[in-house]
Amino acid sequence: MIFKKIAILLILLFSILFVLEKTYTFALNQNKNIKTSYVLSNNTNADLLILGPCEPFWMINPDQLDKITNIESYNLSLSHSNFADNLLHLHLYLKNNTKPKYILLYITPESMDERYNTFNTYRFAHHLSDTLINKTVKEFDASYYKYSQIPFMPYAYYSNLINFNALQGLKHYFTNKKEPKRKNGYQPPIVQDWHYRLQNFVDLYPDQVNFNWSERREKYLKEIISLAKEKNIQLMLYESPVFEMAKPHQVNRYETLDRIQEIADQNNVPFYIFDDMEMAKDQSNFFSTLNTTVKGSVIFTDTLGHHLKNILQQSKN
Amino acid sequence: MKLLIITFASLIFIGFYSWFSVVFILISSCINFYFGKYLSLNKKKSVLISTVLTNTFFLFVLKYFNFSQGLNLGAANFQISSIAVALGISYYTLQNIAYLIETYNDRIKPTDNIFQYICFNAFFPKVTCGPIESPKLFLKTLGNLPIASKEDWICGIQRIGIGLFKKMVIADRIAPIVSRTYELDVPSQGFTTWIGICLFTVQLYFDFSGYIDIAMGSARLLGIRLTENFNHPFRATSISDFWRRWHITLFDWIKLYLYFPIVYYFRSYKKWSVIFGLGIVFLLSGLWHGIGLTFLTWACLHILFITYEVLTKQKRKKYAKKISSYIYTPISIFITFNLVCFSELFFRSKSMTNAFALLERTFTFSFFPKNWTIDFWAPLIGGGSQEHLFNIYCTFIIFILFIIFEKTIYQKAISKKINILVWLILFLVFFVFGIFESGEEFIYLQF
Repeated sequence: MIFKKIAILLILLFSILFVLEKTYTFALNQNKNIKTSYVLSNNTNADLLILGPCEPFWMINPDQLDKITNIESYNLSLSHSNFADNLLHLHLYLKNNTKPKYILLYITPESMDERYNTFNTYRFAHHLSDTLINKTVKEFDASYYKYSQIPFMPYAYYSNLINFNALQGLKHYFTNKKEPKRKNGYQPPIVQDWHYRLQNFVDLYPDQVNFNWSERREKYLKEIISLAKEKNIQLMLYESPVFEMAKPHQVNRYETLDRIQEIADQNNVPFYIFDDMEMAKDQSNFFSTLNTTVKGSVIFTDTLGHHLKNILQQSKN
Repeated sequence: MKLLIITFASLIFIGFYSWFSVVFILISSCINFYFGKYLSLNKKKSVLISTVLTNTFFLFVLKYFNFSQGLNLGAANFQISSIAVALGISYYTLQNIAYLIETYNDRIKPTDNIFQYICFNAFFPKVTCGPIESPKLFLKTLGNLPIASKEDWICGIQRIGIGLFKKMVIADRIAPIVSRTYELDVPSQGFTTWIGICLFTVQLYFDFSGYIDIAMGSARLLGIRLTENFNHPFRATSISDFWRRWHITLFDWIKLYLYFPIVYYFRSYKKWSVIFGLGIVFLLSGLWHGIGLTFLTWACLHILFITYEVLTKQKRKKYAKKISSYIYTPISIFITFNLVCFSELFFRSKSMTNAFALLERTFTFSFFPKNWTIDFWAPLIGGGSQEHLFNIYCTFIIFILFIIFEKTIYQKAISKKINILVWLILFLVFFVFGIFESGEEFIYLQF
């Protein structure tokens, strides 16, 4: 009797987990606020794609940019993302959209150091069937990959980061929602008073910082470059302004930038450094060393827009 | 043969942490095994005292003395980076002392089997965090190891399941909130800070009792029943009641080998002998946890609370008779819980400065939040997005429901019969809300 009960319990449990897994996959794909799901279910078809971590995510407003450049852009960047994360987002984007003409990829010395930003496995939990994603997840998160073979574990493993999105996905499905909360992919920074005390600019590098060059970061940067080349898309690298007072604390900043420039040159990719902008001296434009406030973001998007406009005109001529 | 296998398995288990721990537990067991026999034959008080002191000395040296930094007078390190040099020394030292006293007093016959004694100390489910077993009962069990029945297996697995649920669904979900509060990461108002402080007691309970459930379940798989260490402590109506329900085996040990002898010795002082005994009990309990000022304050607060309870026992009884139990009991539970949380504030704080900073924050800012989302939920979870809020609501709902239905869950889930519905619900909550990716170590591993 007891063994029968255990068997019933296990069968029921695995069946429910199986159904739950399917439901979560469906729900996450329906969530319009998840960028990978949105770009896969809609033809965004932008001319310019912005890629990178939190800096471009909070800093470049495509609506403002488009008014200056007269092309359509979409901000595909996401906070805490490294190049592998960016590569997979680009890969998914290209699956269901016409290829963009240009890609603008954010890069700074921190981008080449494993201590900053990361690969966010949970963002790809519902895309594990894709070969490239599967391979990359296995490389970056072996422990997750091992557990992901069990029913529902791809979602249970990062439950705190997934449950809400799945629930929201179901809501989007039942309310037939077509557009995400932020249609152009940009999110203005929500700066709270405590940010200033929590991450006090220069205190971010209390003992000076020496960036450690990561071969893996370099590998994925090169993969983004290769993918862009393969699809015949013009890739541009850029670094947005860094808060002036923090620069002396970045000990090997310029050596690292030189190495990035070297890679860019080898691959015929332009690298724009917005190092000397006046806004970098004004603390009210930043809420951390690299991230700008809404005020700073408006100033930078404007400068970037005019810069891009010139480049586009030059390339036309 | 079974005893031999369990003993070796236990030593290998300890070896995974450190081989020094294996060597030390073997030496300690052999010495105490020998002196247990010696004391039962030669009733020499001086030998008893010196062996007890030697055990205490090694506990002191290995627990509090960091060989690279000298005497470690700091508070507990709640971001555990390494396990203590001699794993489980706090627990088996107490068992060894109990064994020596019991054999000296002829309350137990010393064991003739060295493996039985090594297993008494090293038994893997309990070696890291207890429960602290009585030599009389546990050596008897090891002397005649039962064969695990089908019921033992069912109860054992269910108990392990409950333990994992408590740890991974509740304790580990609360852990980041507690860390954020104690690290003083985000400015928060009085009520928010107080809830963060209280949540540490909740985390500690689910973490520690979760471990004990796993330990008891694992032992049960071998047919061995360990002593219960908790009895719904959040239902305690007074501090004395709380200590009858929390870390029961430690306080039973202290009562038996410290409190009763002290009270008996000073019995002529009547009520004051009880207070003095309790004082010693709590000071030593504080010392057992660590020798920082924070633990001393924690102990002093409990002495204060219990002294008050002893002195006002009659008056409170009179009040209790006048007021309906429907009002008196919840109020008592509420006051007890808050007093316990207040003392645990010192237990958890990194330093006295940290504790006072938290107290200042609790009582300086305007106490109740004006905007609950911004001033209460957001500082607790470290962000005010819908996702953050969803997660913290889930955490609160799960642990409050668990505490309310704890007795029923235990009755249904740890019976000899399998309740499919209850287990299905527990499993589903476990999979949907469990923390798998960044689990915290068990808090009591450091003690």
